[in-house]
Amino acid sequence: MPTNSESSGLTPADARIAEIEGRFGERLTPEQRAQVRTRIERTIALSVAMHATPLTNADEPEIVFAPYRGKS
Amino acid sequence: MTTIDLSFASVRELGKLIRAGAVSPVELAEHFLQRLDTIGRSLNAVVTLTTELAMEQARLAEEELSAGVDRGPLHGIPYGAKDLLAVPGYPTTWGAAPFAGRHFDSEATVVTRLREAGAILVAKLAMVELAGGFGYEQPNAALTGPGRNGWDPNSWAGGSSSGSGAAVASGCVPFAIGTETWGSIHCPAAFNGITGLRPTYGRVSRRGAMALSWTMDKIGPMGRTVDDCETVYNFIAGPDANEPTTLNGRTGGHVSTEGSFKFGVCRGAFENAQPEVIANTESAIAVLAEFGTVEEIELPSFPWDEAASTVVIAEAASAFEDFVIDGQSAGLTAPEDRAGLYHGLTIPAVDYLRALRIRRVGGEAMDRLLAKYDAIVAPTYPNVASPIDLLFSTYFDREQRHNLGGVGNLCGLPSISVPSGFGERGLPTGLEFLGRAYDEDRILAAARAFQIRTNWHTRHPS
Repeated sequence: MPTNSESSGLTPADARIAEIEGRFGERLTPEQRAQVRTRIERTIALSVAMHATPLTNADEPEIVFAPYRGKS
Repeated sequence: MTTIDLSFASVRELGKLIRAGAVSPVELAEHFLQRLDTIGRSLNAVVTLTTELAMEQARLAEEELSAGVDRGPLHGIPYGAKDLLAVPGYPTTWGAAPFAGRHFDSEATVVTRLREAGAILVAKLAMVELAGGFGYEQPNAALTGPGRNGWDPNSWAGGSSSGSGAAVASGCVPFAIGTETWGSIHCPAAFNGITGLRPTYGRVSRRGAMALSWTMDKIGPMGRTVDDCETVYNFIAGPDANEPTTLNGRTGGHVSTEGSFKFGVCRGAFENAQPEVIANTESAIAVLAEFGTVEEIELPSFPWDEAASTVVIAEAASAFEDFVIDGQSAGLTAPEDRAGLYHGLTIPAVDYLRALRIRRVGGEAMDRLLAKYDAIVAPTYPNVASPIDLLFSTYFDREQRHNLGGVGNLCGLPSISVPSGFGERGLPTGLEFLGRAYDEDRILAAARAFQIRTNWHTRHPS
């Protein structure tokens, strides 16, 4: 099933860059826009590399949630 | 009067001199304050001299020791703290111009523990702005200017604990406190030819320290010798009721250097290193073989660096979200840091969670491997420090990236870096001992045994 960005013709990088442009574009110089794009493309590459490692439903993240209870 | 050079004496040597009456804590504080104000500042290693506090603590130490109250091996010993640790009465800048005048009323737990041990805080030391979390790409990325190397001011001190590394190397403090999310103790330790200990995640309380990555930040000592680092570590480690991640650790002990050690060598970690780094590492491995067995190993195959990067970027983007959204990052020193974490705001939650899941399964695989050895060894960095005016990408070949940093920091494993010789441009190289979680005692013993047989840690800049 295509993601929203894919169905709109945008690559995942385009979609994320559009988000940043929409929120902060007016304060970014052309050089900074190019830098943000490069770094977004790198984070997407990180994601691709991580998805090459198979995980099962039982592979939980290392998070231990402790419900808070006050002292009184 | 003593003939020992106070500037480069170890903590243990200074302690003996104090107790022998050869030097007083006040004299030591004055000596190191003077060096920090001259040499330290010339290296951009100092943010703030804590002169008034230091002299007050030194006079108290002198009074106590004279009265027979001895708080132990750090009593009367000056030190410097990376400027992301809160100290009441002094600015805590996090190395960043937007926070230049910021004060905290509270005291970082590490600083409290060292104060209670009788150590004397003489300076808050320079660091890469916001501990490097905004993606700096060259040395000029700090409020205080580019961190200069203790061996060569025209080379970088490493980061992000730049001032801690350079100040120890140049004899401006006997030891310093650094922090590491990914490389920030080991890089300046290796580049400055000193010893740096990165404890297991959760061993040392992070309370009162700047948060870059809540699940990867660690605090540790940087000093002249393994012995000094172990001494400091024993005072700063331990549970802190105000910092829950410190409450789950196993208790360690002191391991003798006399036994036989088992080392795993990860040659894949340095096959593309600079030639001098390879030669120094092979020489170091030959030394290890004198007191232990050495086996070639391969690391379990996981996307260590990718998962570690995802965790750091996502957590840093959250920790500094308001700072970025409010546009305050525009005030940072390095141009590339000013738009440095916008990309982190776009990382999907599922990617962050995938990184945490990889940490879990990968951590279990690493523990199975490490259970067979006292330490896995590799060069701390595959290169020496870069020239001060070069982009990292110009000097550091990406293909040469070491691979113990990502796995070690992602999995929260302890590691110590010790000097292993000299390389390009006469700059120091380092050797890393990576251990099983909570086994600081084993890597300390192994590294101590290495320093008994070598003298790289006794060298210092002229």
